[in-house]
Amino acid sequence: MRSSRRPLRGALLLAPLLLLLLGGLVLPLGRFLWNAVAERDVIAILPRTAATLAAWDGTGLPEDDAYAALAEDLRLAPMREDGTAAVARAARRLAETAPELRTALPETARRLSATAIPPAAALLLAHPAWERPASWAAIRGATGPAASAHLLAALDLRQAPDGSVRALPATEATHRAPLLRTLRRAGAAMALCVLLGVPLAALIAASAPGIAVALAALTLLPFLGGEAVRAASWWLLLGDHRPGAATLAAASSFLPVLALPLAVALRGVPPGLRAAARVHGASAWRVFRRITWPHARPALFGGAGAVFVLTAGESLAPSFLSAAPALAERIARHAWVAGDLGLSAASSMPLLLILAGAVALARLLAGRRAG
Amino acid sequence: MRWLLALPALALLLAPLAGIVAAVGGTWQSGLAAALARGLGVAAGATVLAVAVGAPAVLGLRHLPSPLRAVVLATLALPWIVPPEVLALALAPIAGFAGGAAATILAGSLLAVAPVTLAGWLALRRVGEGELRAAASAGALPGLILRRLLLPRLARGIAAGAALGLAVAAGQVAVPARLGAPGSRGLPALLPDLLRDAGGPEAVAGVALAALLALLIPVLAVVAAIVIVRGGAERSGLVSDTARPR
Repeated sequence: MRSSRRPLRGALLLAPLLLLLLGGLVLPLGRFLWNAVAERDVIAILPRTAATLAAWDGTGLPEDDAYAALAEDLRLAPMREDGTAAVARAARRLAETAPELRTALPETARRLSATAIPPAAALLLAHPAWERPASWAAIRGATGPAASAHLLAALDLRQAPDGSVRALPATEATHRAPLLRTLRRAGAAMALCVLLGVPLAALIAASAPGIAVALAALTLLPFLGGEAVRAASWWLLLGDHRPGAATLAAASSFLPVLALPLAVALRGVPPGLRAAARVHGASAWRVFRRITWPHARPALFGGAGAVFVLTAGESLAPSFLSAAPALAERIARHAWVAGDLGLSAASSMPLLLILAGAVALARLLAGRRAG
Repeated sequence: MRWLLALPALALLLAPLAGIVAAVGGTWQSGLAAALARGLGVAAGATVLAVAVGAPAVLGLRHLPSPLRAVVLATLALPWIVPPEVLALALAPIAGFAGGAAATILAGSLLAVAPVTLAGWLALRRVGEGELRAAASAGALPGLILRRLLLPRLARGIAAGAALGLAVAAGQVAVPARLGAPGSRGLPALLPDLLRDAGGPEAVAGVALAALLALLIPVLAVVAAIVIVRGGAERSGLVSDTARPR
């Protein structure tokens, strides 16, 4: 449809939509994801130590004033309203670089409050971690405005004191497995949807309008029911923790995302075109390649990409149907159960990047722009 | 043969519905109807917001060059790409000062605005260039063309999209379950708790009943969308060919 174009009027009419997306999604999401790199926990509890370590060159152990500053910070920490929790948060953050500090920091804080000996000696007596330059380097690395420790931790990586990045040993690596599991499940659901969705789309496309509408409505219903109904219905059918149940549930729900656009695309092939091509001697393969495939390709790749993205974002259905929770469930638990927004945001980053990449790839393979 | 090939897909679609129907039972709880009504109220709020921003956007799309229009249409997919749990975390500060219901309405409207805008745009795109030219050559001013030709088509598309958007907004779980107060959640957001507590046969039957009730809104939404689209097709003489794109 062509019409007289007035870009300014168009922009004004689109402004509410863009404001909704900006204010309701882009800005809140950006603010949440900033937690992946923002450093707040350590500087909140160790401000004097951070100021002193700014002058430290990172070689050997720092001067005595750093010991005094750390002792003073840890002595004052319990006097804060949320002192114990704040020390625990700082310790959890420092453990992403120097695991020993997860226990060393709270333990030192507890012991310091009951001693009156000089700070350096008191610290060394409280925990041997303070004899190691890596502990001090970890504190210095966690007191800037931003750092990559959460992001590295979310990928089971750790930055060594010399700056090199190393993979965690298998016994400590806990974050990459849920990501890979989630992507595997999304890939399986996508493949299943392609396998089952193509014949379904062909059936809808070839059916009389009344039957096509009924089939489309049936296809749409599990999707519109939402994730809770999906989890409940498959749980009722198969019970909990059955292998493959979460993939089947996702495929049944997201089938319309692939099958319906594909059916519309196949219905869009002019009815006489294929017959005319056959009359002119084109083989069945050539008819498919030159007529059917160009119509079906955008819907097929676009739909497959959408199934992958929607399945990868699920949390509830896998948690009830599968023994191993999805990454989205882990992201939620980091934030709501452990109170670790940094790790939660950092775990979201690779997932969102992969999903954005999947959408871009699907659009590229689809080879035709919407609109 | 086509039916035979599509049989596995149809079985996959029908299996969960059969699972619910086969297990349904249990005693009726008044809390279920109240939760259904609460969820419907929040979803209606989300749909109203989605229509309020989606309807002008559809008219705005007409004025954009094709590449820019493609970009705007692609941005509608953004809320669907973000996993619901991540969306709930992103909206948590908004729930902090505006309340869980406001955050749920906002999340619902982000999801519902895509079907509203896309259905409206598809309906508007069906207005042929010939129709517009004929109207203009008959002396109709742009305002009259908008009122008589474009808006009626747009209204039907928006209404069908709003019906589907309502179902999508009503099916949300993560945002209301994480951000809503326990007494303010709709039926889908209560289902996870019912599933966790489903120990005996009575509780399992209760889960099935709740799931069946939660399906009520999507069923009505699909029926409404079909009625709206078919009604529009009848008025424009397309009754025998409603599903074929033009």
